[in-house]
Amino acid sequence: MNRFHALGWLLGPLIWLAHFMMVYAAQGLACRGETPAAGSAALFVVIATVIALGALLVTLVGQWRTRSGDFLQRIAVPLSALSILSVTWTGLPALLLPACVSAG
Amino acid sequence: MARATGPATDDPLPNPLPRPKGELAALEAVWALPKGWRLITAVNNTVIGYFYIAAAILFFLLAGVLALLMRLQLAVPSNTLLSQEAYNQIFTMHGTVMMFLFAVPAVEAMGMLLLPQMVGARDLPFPRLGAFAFWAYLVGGLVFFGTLFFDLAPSGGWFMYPPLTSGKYAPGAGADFWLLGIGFIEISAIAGAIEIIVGVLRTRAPGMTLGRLPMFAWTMLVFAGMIVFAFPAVILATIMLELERAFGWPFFIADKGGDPLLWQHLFWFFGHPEVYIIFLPAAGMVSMIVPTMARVTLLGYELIVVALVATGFFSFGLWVHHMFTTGLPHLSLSFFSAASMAVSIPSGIQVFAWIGTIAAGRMRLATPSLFVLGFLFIFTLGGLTGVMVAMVPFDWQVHDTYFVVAHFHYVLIGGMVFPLFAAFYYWTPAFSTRPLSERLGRYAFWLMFIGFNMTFLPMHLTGLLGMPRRVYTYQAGLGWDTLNLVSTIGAFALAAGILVFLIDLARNLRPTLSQPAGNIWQAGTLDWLPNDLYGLRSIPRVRSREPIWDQPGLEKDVEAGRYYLPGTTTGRRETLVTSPLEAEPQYVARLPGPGWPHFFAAIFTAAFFLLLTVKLVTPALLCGVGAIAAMVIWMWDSDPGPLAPVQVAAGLRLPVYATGPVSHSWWAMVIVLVVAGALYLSYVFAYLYLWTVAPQVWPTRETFGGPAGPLGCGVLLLASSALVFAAGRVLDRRAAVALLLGAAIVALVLALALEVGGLWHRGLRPSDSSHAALAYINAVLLGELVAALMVMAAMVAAWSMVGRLNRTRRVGYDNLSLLWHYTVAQGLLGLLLVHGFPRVIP
Repeated sequence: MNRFHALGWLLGPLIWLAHFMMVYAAQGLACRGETPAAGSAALFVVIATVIALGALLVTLVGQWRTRSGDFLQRIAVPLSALSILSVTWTGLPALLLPACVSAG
Repeated sequence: MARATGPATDDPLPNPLPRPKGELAALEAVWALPKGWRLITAVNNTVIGYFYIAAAILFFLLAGVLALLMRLQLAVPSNTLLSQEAYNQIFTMHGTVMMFLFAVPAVEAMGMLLLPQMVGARDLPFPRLGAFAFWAYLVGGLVFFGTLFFDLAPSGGWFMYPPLTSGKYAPGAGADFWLLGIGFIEISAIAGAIEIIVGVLRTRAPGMTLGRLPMFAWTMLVFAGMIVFAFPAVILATIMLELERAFGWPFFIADKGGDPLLWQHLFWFFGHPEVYIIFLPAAGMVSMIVPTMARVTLLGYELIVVALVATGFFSFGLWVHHMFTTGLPHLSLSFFSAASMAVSIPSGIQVFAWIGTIAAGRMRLATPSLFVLGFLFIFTLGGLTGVMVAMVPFDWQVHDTYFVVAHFHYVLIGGMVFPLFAAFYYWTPAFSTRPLSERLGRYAFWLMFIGFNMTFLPMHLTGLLGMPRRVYTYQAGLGWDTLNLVSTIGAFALAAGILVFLIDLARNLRPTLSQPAGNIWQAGTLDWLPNDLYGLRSIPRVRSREPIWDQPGLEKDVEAGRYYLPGTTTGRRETLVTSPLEAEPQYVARLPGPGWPHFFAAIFTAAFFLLLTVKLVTPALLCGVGAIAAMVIWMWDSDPGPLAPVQVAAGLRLPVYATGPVSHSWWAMVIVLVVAGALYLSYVFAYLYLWTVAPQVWPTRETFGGPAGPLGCGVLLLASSALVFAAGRVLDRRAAVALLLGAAIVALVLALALEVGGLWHRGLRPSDSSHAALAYINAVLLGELVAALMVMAAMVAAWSMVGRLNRTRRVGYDNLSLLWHYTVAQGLLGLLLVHGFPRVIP
C-alpha cells in the first residue's frame, strides 16, 4: 500500500472540506464591510461548487474503477458519493438566496 | 479479504507446546501490580481504566445532583430554593461537568479499558501518558467541582460566551476556573486521544486488518481523530479569553476591534464535533453489543465505517448552526444548514444497520439489549428534533428555549448515557467475578427510560410555549407550571433508576484482574478471551471480525501460549507493534512499568493551573517547575535503545527497536504536530476573522515599519532548523550534538526576542487593539513551542553527552527534530501573516 493510497480513500470528504471552507470564507470576505460584493459572492459559490463536483466525479470514477478487495478502496466509493450529495446541498442555496442579506 | 495476511496464515499455530517452564511466571512478574498504596503508581491500562471509569461515574453523579437541584427549583413557579446566582453557577457547572468531566472522560476511559484487549495488545502504547491524563483529570476535576462550595464557580453557561464572561461583567475567579481548569483538562483529553490513535493503528493483533477492526475500535479511532482537530480550537479560545481577562488583550471587546462572535465561532468549532465525539464511541459500544445479543454478525459493517468517517468530517461543518440567531447572512447559514442535514445521513445509516442486525437475528432481551433499544428510541427522537432545528426558520422560533434543552438531552442522554449503561451491563462480566443483576438491571432501565422521557418529553412543549432556558424561576399562569412539575417528577424517577444501578454495582461488581465471570454472552471479539493484567497470554492471528466465533479452539490456544509473544522476550513489559493497515508484526515495543514521575507531573500540572487561577503566582510557578522536572525524570528512560531481535514465535524474529515512521513514538509525535497545527490554523482563522470585522484597527503599509526585523527573525528561524539538521548528521559525536543544539536554541530564542521586541519597538501594545493582541499572541503561540523545545533539546543534548544517543539510538532526536521543523514552519507562517498581510491589504 503506497503513501498516496493511504490517504486517497479520504479524497471525497477532503474535497468536501476544502469546498466548504472555501465557500464559507469567500462569502464572509465578500460580504464584509459597508459595500458587500453580493454578486461575486454568489458567483464564487456557484463556480466553486461546480469545480468541487467535477473533482468529486473524477475521484468517484477513479475509485469505482480501482475498487478491489481492499477495504479502504471499497469504502472510498460511498464516502465520495456522500460528499457529492453534501457539496450539492451546500452550493445550491447560492442560486436561491441573496448572498449578503441577514435577518439582523 | 482478498489480500493474503502474511506468511503464517496457513501454518499451524505459531508457537509449539509445551511452553518453556517459567515463561508464564516471568510474564506475570513483569506485569505485577504495585502493592498497597503504591497502587497509585500503576500505569496498566486495566487499572487506570477502572480508576478512570470510577472517576467519570463520580462526576456523572455529582453533575446529576446539580440537575436535581435545578429541577427542584423549577418544580413550582416563583420558587425560592435557589438564588439566581446559585442557579446560574449550578446550570453552568452541570453542563460543564457533564460535558468535560463526565462524557469525554467516560468514553476515553472505556477506550482505555477495552481497546487493548479488543485489539489484542498487552497495554496501550504509552501507559504513563494515559496514567498522567487520568491523574491530571481527577485532581483538576475535583478542585474545579469544589469551587461550587466556595461560591467561586463559573456562572456564564457551559459555553462561556463573552462579554458575559469578560473581565468587565464576570470579575470574580469563576470564569478563570473554567478557562484554566477546563483548558487543561482538554489537554488531558488530547493526551488520551494520541494514546488511542497509536494504540488502534499500531498495536493490533496480527491479521486484524482495518476491515476486521472491531467497530468500537473504529469509533474510538474516529473519536480520537476528531479530538485532535476540534479541541485545539477551544484551547486557543480559552487562552485568548484568559489573556483578555488577565491582561486586557481585547480579542472579544468590540470597542477595540474585537468581536464576541469570534468566541462563538471557536467554541462551536469545537463544540459541535464534541457532540459526535461523545456519540460515536457510544455508537461503537452499541455496534459491539447488538451483534452479540442478536447472535449474528453486524449488518453493513462497511457502510457503518463509511458513516463514522463521514460523520467525522461533516460534523466540522455544523458549528454555525448554534449561531443561527446571530445575524449572519442567510447564505452563510444555509451552508451550515446543508451540512447539518448531510450529517444526519450517516447517523441514519447506523440506526438502520442496528435495526437490520436486530431483525436478522434473534435478539436476547437481557439488560444490555434493553438499554440499546432505549437508546434507539430516544436517540432517534433526538435526531428528528435535530433535523427540525437544522432548519433556520424553525431554529429562530425555538432558539434558547426549553425545546433545545429537550433536543440535546435526547441526543446526549439517549445517544451516550443509555449506550454507556448498556456497556456497563454488557462488559462487567469481562472485568468482575460476577455479572450485574438482570433483575436490578431491568428495574434500573425502566426507571431510567420512563423517568427520562417524563423529564424531557414535556420540555419540547414547555419550549414551544416560550419558556427560555437558564431562567432560575418563572411566574405562575404562563402555561408552564404543570409541564415543569412533571419534568421534575420525571427527573427523580431517572435518578431513582441510577440509584438502582449503584445498588447493583455495590452488590455485584467484584472487580478482578484475572478471574472474570467471562464470556457469558458468547460474544465473538477478542475482548472476551481470558484476560489477565498482561492482556492475552499470547496474541492470536486474527482471520475474521469475530475470531471467537470463526476460529475454533482460539480461547484454548491463546491461553496455552500457542500464538505470538507468549512470554516476555526482554524481561520487560512488551507489546507487539504491527503495521497500520494490514496489521503485520513489525517489532516488539518495550513498555514502561509503574512509577512516580508521571503521577507528580500530573499533580504539579494541575496545581500550576489552579494556583494561577487564584493568582498565587509564585507557588504556581514553583509547581510549574516541579511539573517540568517530573516530566524530565519521566522521560529520561523513555528511549531504551536497540537490542538484538527476539523470537516472538517459532520462526518469527522481530526487532526490539524502531526509528522513523515505523516507530510508534514517531506516530505520536506526528499527531502532536497535527494538534499544534490545528491550534495554529484556529489562530489564523481568528486573525483573518477579526480583520474582516474591524479592518480599521489594522495598520497600513506605511505605519507598520520596515521589513528588516521580520526578515532577521525568519533567517534566525531557518538557521536554527539548519543547526538541528546538522546535529542529526553527527549523532555519534557527543559534544558536537550538544553544541549544535545549544546554538540552535540560541537562534530560536533570539528569533522570538526579535519578533516581540520588534512589535514593541513599533509602539504596539497588546492591549491597544485586537490587531495588536493578535500580533502578540502569535508570539505567545511560538513561545510555547520554543519553551517545549528548550526542555527537549536540553534532554537530547544530555542523552548525547552520557552516550544514550547515537546513529541507531535516535528516537529522541527524531522527535525533537520533527517538532523543531514544525515550529520553524509555524514561525515563518506567522511572520507572513503578522508582517506580510498588513502590507498587502488595500
